[in-house]
Amino acid sequence: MKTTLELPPDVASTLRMESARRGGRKAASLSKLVSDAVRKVYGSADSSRGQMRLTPGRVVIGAAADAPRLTAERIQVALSDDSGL
Amino acid sequence: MKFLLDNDVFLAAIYAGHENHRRARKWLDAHKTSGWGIAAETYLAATRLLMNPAIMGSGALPVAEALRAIKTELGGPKPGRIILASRPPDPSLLETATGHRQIMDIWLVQIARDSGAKLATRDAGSLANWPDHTILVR
Repeated sequence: MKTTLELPPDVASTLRMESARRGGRKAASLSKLVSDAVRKVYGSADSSRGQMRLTPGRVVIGAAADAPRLTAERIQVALSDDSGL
Repeated sequence: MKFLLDNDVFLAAIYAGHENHRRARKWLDAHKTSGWGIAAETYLAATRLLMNPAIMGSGALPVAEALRAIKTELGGPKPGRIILASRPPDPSLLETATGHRQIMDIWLVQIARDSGAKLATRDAGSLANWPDHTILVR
């Protein structure tokens, strides 16, 4: 849903700082940050996320529809200091 | 403890989006009874990866959820341990590296060795280099 929010300056500033901390608008848009915060506070599920099945000693985290297929190489690149990920 | 899981095997076991999820999940379920664990470095790597949108897409987890998932996997009736290195890095092992990306692999091999465990990995290169301290997860 597209809407317009009027945010107090401190909230807007916090959102901008959090977005910058997470890598900028592409990685963490204001829309995403607000959505995450609302889900966290009001407990609604994120339908775009993969499901997480947790039983003691066994976890399976589902993949989101837009997640890349993960490989050992991609993990290595993501964890290496010289990557942009 | 018999097996220390490397970053790739641990993440593959808990994340369905990994290309080897089914095999890693099956392997871990079958081998937990023998005693298992992950290095503190793998714990942190898994947390980083689960929070990373470049890895998880829109399914990237907030830190609390990532930690809860890892804690849950380490719990249960056949719990896994978080292993801290008991000794400083061993230069004689590190000197066998042929590239910078091998350093962490070698460090995990050392932690496994010093813990009396084998490093469970899908990396055939690690198996070839350190056959006494690694086991291949197929």
